[in-house]
Amino acid sequence: MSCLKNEEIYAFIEGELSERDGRRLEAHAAGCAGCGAALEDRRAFLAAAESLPSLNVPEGFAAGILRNLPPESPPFRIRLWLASMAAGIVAFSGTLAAIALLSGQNLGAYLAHLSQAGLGYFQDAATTAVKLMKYIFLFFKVTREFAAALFNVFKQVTAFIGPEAQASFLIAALFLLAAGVTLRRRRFASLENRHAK
Amino acid sequence: MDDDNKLVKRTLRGDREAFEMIIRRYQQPIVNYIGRMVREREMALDFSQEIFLKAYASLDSFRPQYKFSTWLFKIASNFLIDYWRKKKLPTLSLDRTPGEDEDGLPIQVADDTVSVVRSYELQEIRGRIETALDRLPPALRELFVWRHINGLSYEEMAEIKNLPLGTVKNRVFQAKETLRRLLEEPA
Repeated sequence: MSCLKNEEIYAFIEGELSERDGRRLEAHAAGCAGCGAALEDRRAFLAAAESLPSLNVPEGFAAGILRNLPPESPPFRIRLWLASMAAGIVAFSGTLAAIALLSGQNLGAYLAHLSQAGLGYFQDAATTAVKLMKYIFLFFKVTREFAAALFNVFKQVTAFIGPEAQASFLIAALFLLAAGVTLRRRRFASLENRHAK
Repeated sequence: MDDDNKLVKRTLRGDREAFEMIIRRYQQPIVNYIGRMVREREMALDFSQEIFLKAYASLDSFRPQYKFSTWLFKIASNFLIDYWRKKKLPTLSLDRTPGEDEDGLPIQVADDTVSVVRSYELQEIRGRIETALDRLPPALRELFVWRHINGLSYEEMAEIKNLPLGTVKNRVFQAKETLRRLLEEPA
C-alpha cells in the first residue's frame, strides 16, 4: 500500500472511513514511520482543537434577549386569528357550494331560506326567554306576598304576649335548637363508630 | 429535533418561556461560533443576542422538516456576512481561493517531520490554535469552527452554506491543514 494522504488520515480520525479502509489505514500506519507520525500529529491537533474551552456566557444572557423582544407577539396571534377566520369562511362557502351542487337548488334562494329560518329560530328563542322572565317575576311576586302574610300573622300573635314572655320563648327555642343539633351529632358519631368497628 | 419543533410551535403561540428554552439550548454553540469569528467577547455576546432576536422575528418562516440548529446557524452566518460587508472586510464567501484549484488543496502525502503539535503540552497547543485561528481566512475559519468546535456534520454544513458536500469537505480539509501549518510557524 502506498503512503497515506492527509485527507485519508483526517477522514479516519473523524470516523468517516469504512471499517475495512480504517483497518487498512491503521495497519499501514503501524508499519510506516512517516504515516504513523502524521496520524499521531493530526490526532493530537484535532483533539486539542475539539477541546478548546467554551466562551463564557453570562447568567443574564437569555434574560437580556427576552427583554428586547417586542412587548407582545401580535403578528403570530393576528395571523392565527386571520387563519381561523379564513378557514371558517372557506368551510362555510364549501358547505354551501356542496349543498347547491347536491340538491340542485338555487344558492340565492337557499341562502334566503336559510336566513329566514335563522331569524325564525332567533324569534322563537327570544319569545321563550321573555316567557321565562315573566315566570321568574311571578315567582318572586308570590314569594314576597306569602312572606308578608306570614309576618302579619306573627305580628298579630306577638301583640298579645309581653316582651318578657317573648324573650323567654326565644331563649327556649334557641335552647331546643341547640339540644337538637347536639343530639343529632352524637347519634351520627355513634353510627360512625359502629361502622368503623 | 422534535423537541426543538415543539418549542418553536409554543413560541409561535406566544409562549416566551419556550423561546427562553431555545436560547438556553443554543446560546453556548452560537457564542462559541461568533466568538471565534469576531475574536472579541463583548461583540460576540451582542451579536449572539441580535441573532436570537432575528431568529425570533422570522420564526414563522422556519420549516419543521429542517433541523432547527441548521436554520439558526444559517441566520448567524448571514448575520456575519452582512456585518463584514458593512465593514468592507473579507466575507465568508467560499468562492475560489486564489492559487487553489477547483478541488481544493492538491493531494498531499503524509510526512514525518517533527511536529509542533506533538512537541507542546495540550494547554499550549490550544493557545496556539486560538491565535492561529485569527490568521485563518474567515471562510475557512467558519467551517473549521462549525466542524471541530460546534461539532456540526458535513451534511449540516453543506445545507447551511448551500454547497455540495464534497466542496465543504475539501474546504474543511484545507482549513485544517492551513491551521496546522500556521501552528508550525514560530510564535
